[in-house]
Amino acid sequence: MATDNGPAPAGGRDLSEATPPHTGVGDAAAPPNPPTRWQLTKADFYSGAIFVAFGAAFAAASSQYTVGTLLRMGPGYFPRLLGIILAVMGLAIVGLAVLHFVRPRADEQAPEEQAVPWMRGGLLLAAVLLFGFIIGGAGLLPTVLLTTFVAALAGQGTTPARAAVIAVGITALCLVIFVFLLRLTVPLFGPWVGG
Amino acid sequence: MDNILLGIQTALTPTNLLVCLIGCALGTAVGVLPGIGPTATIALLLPITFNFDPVSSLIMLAGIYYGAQYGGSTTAILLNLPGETSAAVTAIDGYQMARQGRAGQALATAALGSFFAGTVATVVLAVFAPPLAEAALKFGPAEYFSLVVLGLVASIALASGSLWKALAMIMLGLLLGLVGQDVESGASRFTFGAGELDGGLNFVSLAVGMFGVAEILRNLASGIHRPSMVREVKSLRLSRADFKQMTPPVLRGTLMGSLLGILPGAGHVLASFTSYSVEKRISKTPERFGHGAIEGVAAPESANNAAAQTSFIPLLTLGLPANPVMALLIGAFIIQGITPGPNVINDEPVLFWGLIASMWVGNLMLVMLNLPLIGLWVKLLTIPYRVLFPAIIAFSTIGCYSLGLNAYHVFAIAFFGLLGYVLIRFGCEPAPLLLGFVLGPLLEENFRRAMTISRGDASVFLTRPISLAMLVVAAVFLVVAVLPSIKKKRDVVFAEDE
Repeated sequence: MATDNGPAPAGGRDLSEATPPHTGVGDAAAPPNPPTRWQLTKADFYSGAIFVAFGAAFAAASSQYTVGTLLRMGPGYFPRLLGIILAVMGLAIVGLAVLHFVRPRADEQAPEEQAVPWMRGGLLLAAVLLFGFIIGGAGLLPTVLLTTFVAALAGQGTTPARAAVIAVGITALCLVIFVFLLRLTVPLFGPWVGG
Repeated sequence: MDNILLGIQTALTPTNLLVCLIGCALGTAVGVLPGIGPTATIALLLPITFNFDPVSSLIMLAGIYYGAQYGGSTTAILLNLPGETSAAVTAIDGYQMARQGRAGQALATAALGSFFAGTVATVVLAVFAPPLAEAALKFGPAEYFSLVVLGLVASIALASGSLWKALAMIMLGLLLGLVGQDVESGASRFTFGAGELDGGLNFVSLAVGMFGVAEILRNLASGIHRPSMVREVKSLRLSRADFKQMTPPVLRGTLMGSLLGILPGAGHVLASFTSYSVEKRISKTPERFGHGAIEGVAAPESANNAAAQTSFIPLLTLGLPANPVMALLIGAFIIQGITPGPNVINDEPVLFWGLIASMWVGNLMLVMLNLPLIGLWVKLLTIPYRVLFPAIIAFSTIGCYSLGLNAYHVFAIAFFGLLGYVLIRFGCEPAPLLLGFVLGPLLEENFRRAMTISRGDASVFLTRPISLAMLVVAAVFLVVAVLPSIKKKRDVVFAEDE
């Protein structure tokens, strides 16, 4: 079943000391050291774990519902089947990652590492959640203004003043499109602001 | 013939001409802009099109899709920056032509080749879709189940990246698609008692989250590469020698694109790559390729546009999406109360023929939009991303909220955005998940029906010849995809995308 791994090229063992292959890309961020085994396999390991978790959760939750037999399938049958398959696939991905960790292949490059934009990504998601929380109370205009302001702050090097300008511009555009052209029926001002 | 007239009549009504134009223009714009693609755009616009009638909404959404193919090639040629994955091959020779001062000729070749291919592929669609739908009407639940399995497998066997992860993403998508009320028993599944979830997870929120918000999160991490120098476009006129050189590649590219487009998966990417390598192989002067060969622009451009049109065939005849955009169009059909599948042609002739006729009209519009207005599109590149992405957020949130004036749809965007970003980071592309999500209920329904008819005998999928044949083809796809030599080729094909 492990065919996806492909046969390791001859002499492909124990490469931790080998020089990294030349990437040929004039990338200043190219790592000076050969990738560690963990760098090569962690994406597979984590994604496999996510699939196992989802598969197991769906399979477990399915047993709340009638499972039934092939002839008389209950609402739990098909999801339980799929959940088990997904969990097995996740295990296979984790297994392949472990195999790969033990026996790394020749001249591999670590996948490009990018710092997770915690702060900016968090702002972006916060903007979306904010919209959901205040739209009912504040109405369309204040909500869009605030949402786009918070979202714009997530941009690289965007100052609050600049974000405010962007927010006003986008809000005006949204009003034209959604209120005047598409006649959206959401009130402009909600009960919180006397709408 | 009556049908074609009906289609033309439908496509030429003022409303439909207008929405077609809007769709094509929007498509060109997002094709030009890096950081937002046709999938995210269509997802964003789905809620807005609820107010349109079904024909107009599908005409517009389809226009975005094939319009993006045109826009993507423009930036590929002028900036060596394929705005759309399938334009990556065009960039190889197109950008070289531009460097030699032949940008106009490259653009004209791409536009005319695409137009010709689009025209032919539209005819292919009109000729082959009805008999295929006729055949599909005879399918029982077992055949349909196997067909869906084949579609899902083929879509990943031809796509990039790890096969295991793609398979797991499909499974996860199928499971997410099952959330909500079970049609047969009425039981609420996986809803945690939340009534909002009875109707299932919201399709638009999922698509907007996975393809819009997750993409923004990725771009915030990596930054968007924007070149500053744009090659000047002098003249668009093609010489007689140019025409002579481009005609055979356009014909071959159209043929290959029309065939490969029908395959589920990344048909149009595969088509442009294959046609490029074929041209290079049969050329008497292969050394010119990579240095501004006009054939290297003509063939992949016609191939990818032909494939973009024929990828509607599985959607309109079988209800099977060939790629994430088609999966979104399935959503658009369902929202409008139409079940996509073999019945569409007979039950909704206005929709079917109107859509086909509009594709030809749209291709004509695109040639006119793209060639004379080229400078305008390139100007779009000066919109900074830090302005673009808050606008995408505003559109996503307002659009999803307007679905049912329900804040749950908005929270769902954040959830799927985060999930999509995490999965992308670990090397799992979201496209198979979307296909699975759309097809989950269909797969379950047909599985259950097949089991009821066969009295619980699971071998029915192997004893019915058509069903068996489809499963065998699916198995062959899987085996072929993991063979080392093919795997290497896949990697090469999709390395071109980056």
